[in-house]
Amino acid sequence: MARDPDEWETWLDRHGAALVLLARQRVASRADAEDVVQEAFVRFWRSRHRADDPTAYLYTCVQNSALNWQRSRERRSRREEAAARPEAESALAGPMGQEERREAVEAVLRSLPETQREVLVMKVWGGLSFPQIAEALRIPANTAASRYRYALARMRERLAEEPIP
Amino acid sequence: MNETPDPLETELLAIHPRPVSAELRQHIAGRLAGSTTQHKRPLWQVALGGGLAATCLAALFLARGGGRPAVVGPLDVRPGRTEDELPSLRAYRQALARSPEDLDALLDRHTARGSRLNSQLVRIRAFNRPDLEVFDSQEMEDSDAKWKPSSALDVPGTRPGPLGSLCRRG
Repeated sequence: MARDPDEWETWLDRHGAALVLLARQRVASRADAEDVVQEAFVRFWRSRHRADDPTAYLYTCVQNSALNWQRSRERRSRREEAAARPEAESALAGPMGQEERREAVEAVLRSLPETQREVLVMKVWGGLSFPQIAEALRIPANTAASRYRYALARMRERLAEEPIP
Repeated sequence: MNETPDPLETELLAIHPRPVSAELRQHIAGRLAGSTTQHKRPLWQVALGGGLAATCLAALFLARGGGRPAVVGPLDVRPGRTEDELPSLRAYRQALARSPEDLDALLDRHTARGSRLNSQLVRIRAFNRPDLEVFDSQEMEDSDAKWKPSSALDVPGTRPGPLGSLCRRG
């Protein structure tokens, strides 16, 4: 049975995974990323009626929460930073039998500049349009599109170096 | 115009991020359930706050006498009260209402008393020492206790009114 689009679970089912992936581009662990998404999602849900584009606003909330998290992390001691290094768990899941390819994609994704990664995650897994990405990141739509093109080009280049499974 | 899908985009779409954990879902559910009651709370909180504020404003307004009409009641005709106080228009009116002689007597009393009070005040100000102030205060009380109205009541030919006789001291 389809859920009411005005229920928060509908939004979480549709965007939750992409939001956690987006947050994880700025925080070190999946647990931290889920904490970021939790804060952002609650804030989004309480104030979503004020947004012109609720979808773009949801990603803006996550982006801002991730940035705040990142800043607060930077103020902490070096030991705490070391403890929060990336974990071994993968952020992506792929078709069975293609784990190596998935790992390669994930490795290339991590090597991209942060600004390109954000646009790529929003476009591919969030399903946002360039105007929505532009609104979420407060950048021109052309900039969002060019960052996406650069990201794809770099991924294509790097993945071409990988052996085809 | 339909663009040909990029093979890399197609490949990326086949790889998807991991779904959110059950813990995250539960935490969000818990917080949003709490926020639902929090959103309802302001409605009655605003009503309660508004009621309290209105009550406080009304109390303040009444305390200042702004809400009450000026009560013009009967004049205070308690004997021995108004005529012992400092001169007031009401006391003069009461005295005049009784008789012109009462008004004269009241004027004499206030004149005599006022001159004595003024002299005491001058002395206290001139010698601003605590011991003298105590002495002067005591002296003033003694003089007040001994004081009798030197008024037209003692003047031959005048008859003390009921108020005048009751306000005598000592």
